Amino acid sequence: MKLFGRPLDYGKRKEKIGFLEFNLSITQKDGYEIEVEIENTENEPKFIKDLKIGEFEVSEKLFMNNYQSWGPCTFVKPQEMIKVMNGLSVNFAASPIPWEFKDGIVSDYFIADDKTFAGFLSSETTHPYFKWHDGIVDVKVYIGKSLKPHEKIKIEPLWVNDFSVLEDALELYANKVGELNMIKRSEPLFGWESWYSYYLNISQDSFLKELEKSSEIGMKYELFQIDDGYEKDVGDWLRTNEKFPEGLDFLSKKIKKSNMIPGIWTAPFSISETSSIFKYHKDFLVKDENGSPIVAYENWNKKIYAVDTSNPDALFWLGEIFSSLKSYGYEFFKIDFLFAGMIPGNRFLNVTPVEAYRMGMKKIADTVGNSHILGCGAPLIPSIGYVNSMRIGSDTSSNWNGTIDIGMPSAKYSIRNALSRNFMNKWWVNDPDCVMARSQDTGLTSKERMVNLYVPALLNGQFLESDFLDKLSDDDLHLMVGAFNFRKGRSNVRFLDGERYVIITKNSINGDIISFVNLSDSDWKDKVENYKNLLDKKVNEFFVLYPSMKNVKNEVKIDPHSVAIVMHRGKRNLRRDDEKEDDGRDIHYYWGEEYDGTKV
Amino acid sequence: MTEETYIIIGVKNMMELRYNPITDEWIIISSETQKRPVLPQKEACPLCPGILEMKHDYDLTAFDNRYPALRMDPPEIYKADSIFKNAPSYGKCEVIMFTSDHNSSLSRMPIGQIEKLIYVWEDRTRDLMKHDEIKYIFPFENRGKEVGASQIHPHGQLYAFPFIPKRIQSMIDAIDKYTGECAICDVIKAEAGTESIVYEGEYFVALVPYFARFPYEVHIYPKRHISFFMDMTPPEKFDLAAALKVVTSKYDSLFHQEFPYMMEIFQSPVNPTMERFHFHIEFNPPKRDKVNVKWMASVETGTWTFINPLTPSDAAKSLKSASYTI
Repeated sequence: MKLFGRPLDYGKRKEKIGFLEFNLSITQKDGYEIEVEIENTENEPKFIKDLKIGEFEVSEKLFMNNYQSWGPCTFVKPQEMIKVMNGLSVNFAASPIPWEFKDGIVSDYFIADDKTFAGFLSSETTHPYFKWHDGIVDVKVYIGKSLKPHEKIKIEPLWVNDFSVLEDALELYANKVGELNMIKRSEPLFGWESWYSYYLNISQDSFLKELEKSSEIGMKYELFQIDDGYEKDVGDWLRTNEKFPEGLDFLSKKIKKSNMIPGIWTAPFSISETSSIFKYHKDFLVKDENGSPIVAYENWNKKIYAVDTSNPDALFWLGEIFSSLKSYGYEFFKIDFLFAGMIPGNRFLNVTPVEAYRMGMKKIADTVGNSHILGCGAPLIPSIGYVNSMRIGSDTSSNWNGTIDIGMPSAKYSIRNALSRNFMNKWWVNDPDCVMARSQDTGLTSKERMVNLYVPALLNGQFLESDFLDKLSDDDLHLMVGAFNFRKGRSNVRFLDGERYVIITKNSINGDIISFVNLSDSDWKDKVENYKNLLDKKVNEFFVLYPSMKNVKNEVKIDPHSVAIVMHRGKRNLRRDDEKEDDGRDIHYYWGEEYDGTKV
Repeated sequence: MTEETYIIIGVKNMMELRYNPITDEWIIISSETQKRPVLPQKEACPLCPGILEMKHDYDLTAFDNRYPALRMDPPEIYKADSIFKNAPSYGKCEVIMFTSDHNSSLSRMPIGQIEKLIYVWEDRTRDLMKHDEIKYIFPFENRGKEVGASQIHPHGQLYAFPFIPKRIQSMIDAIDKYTGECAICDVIKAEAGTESIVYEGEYFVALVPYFARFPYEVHIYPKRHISFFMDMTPPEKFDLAAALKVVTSKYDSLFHQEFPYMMEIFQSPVNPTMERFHFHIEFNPPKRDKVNVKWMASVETGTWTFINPLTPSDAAKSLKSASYTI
């Protein structure tokens, strides 16, 4: 890698390009850690857009990442990808810097080729990214605000290191990011939500029907969440439509009465062109140079504008929404389409889009206090510390949809991202999107359903189900319960390529597991012995294929679109503690090696 | 067991064994068992950690029953001066906690927990057979109020008898009488691939026997001729855990309820052991359908002859198609 045309070397130096002066500090921390401070040396304010600080040559295949929840994180051949992208219009959902795609491909926050990993450790002020073009990767940041005369700004620290195993580099990167940012610690939740059964057709009656059914099927959901479809309009979150005549507090009380956490979906940084808030508060919107509101995206057959979260009145309005929802009894907030809060544009304050986004996130987090926030459609690294859990892939689907990988709903790519971004579970609880247990009204085969249910369980992220509960058969419920027993473990994911993954899980409810996930269209044969050293050795160890429960000699065949789960077993060494009761009776306590107080 | 006769003094906390010369069987008299509490609410569950029986958290436990029918230090009894024989109620009655989770069950537990339970059963057997006076060790579970379960917290019991119980003696007599090598080994061969098989693992098979006494009766047999938990390899124990989970899970899903059953575990007698005895587990559910109970009425109780209202092959068919969780 070269910084400002010179090879990386430890120490401090200055560079001057035009009116900007760059103060560089390069230190050794498991590789190179680079800090850059920029100063506007002019005597007048200067608006700074994107800046290139370095470049490096890369191999043909890259590991790239999109900036937000839904975007892909996978191996890419940029020469091929640029042909796919040619002709596609890139919107803000795909990138906060869409103009960069005119002559290149962008990887946000981090990138790796076959030997070098480079990743920014935060995104508190600027949006850091890597732009591939013509076999070269430019190291860049987007600032997006005016610097006053002689004002200095620090951009995000960059970490560069050579690696032998990419997954190890990602783990190290996750740790470094975690150390630098304030992480919110939470436990993964098991719940039900309305989206993938009702979509926008949810009503008060149908929601209550599902609530009633949930207690009958004995699934012990911790959370019951209403998704999109209750609101009067996008932006008018506290006003329900005619399908919800008794309002939001009525629903939350019903959920609470069923001993579950009431959850609600909103898209707090989005305002539709037909909403009341749009009609009365255009001052709340991010605008272009001409003062016109910028369309952040289109959805619900409407233009959607972005909330200017640097505007104190808009922030007050956001706070009122969430304090009201909290006062109704909601304790779980799925906040969606968050990328809208980080689009470039003119704002009330002279702040960068990232700073504005974080002001909005801070307001929501401060308002809901210790309630749970699930981020979705969200810029990833700027959200650290504000969300308890984070969607890390595209919307899932009741269809495999394995052709186009551009963040559209897909059972395949939703799971693929859950695997490739598993290392992010150090920053929050990963949400791989909903699981669906249904065998009816689905385009998924039985093997694909296993992938949809078991991979999220094995990765032990959020486990939110979205089905018509009264349509689930006994087999469907048993499949889900079966998956449930693979939760609670700690998993690492090994990448064979962008379509084949191995999950090494320690201490799941069902013990230590090696799972082979084949998202490709071809058969795959592998051997347990290739991975068994990643699990702790046990005496008399043996391996059993789930759910057939047959011994695995060594070789495992994994069908296309399927997961092969291999349970690791050995002789159990129970600990026994003998005690005497006061009346002289014997009592023998037996403890499994892994027992940690978790009720099973 | 001595054949000396004794006479009892007092009637309080009566505990002794009495011999029935008409049927040649021993009866346990135990007024202690009358004191057992019945089906409490969760808040009062004496089997939950820190409530009554276990002072602190636990994974699994085995402890002496507070209301035993047999005990290692039985009360003294007095020789009867009559035709009757009696004996001290020597032995052990243990309660075995499957998990600290009040709301779990074999059908809902992860396999790993059931696997651990098998190791506990093995340890209890190994421990208790060290006592020369113990002749038969019998782990079991009564699930549901229909079979007299006094607590819903998942647990089983274990009786260590100072004599060979009557039905076990019948099994031993049948082994002696059987002209082949082993009746269970032959049943496994005969039923291989038939509709009677409810579930088959690598080392164990679960089937509705041709001669089932109860509707929905299921037997679990190890394919290898073994007599004790101690004879099982770790993979066999794991496979047995899977079979137990599948069978109990199928029971629950068949009638959409927590299906009551008596689960009886038959190992070889001890002191001395008997290699010809083939380890097996019987599930005897008392229900004939979702609602009705198959009562142990006059014929069954009086003559030990069972009338099964459901053809075993039909029961097998229903159980085979029932959903299950592993």
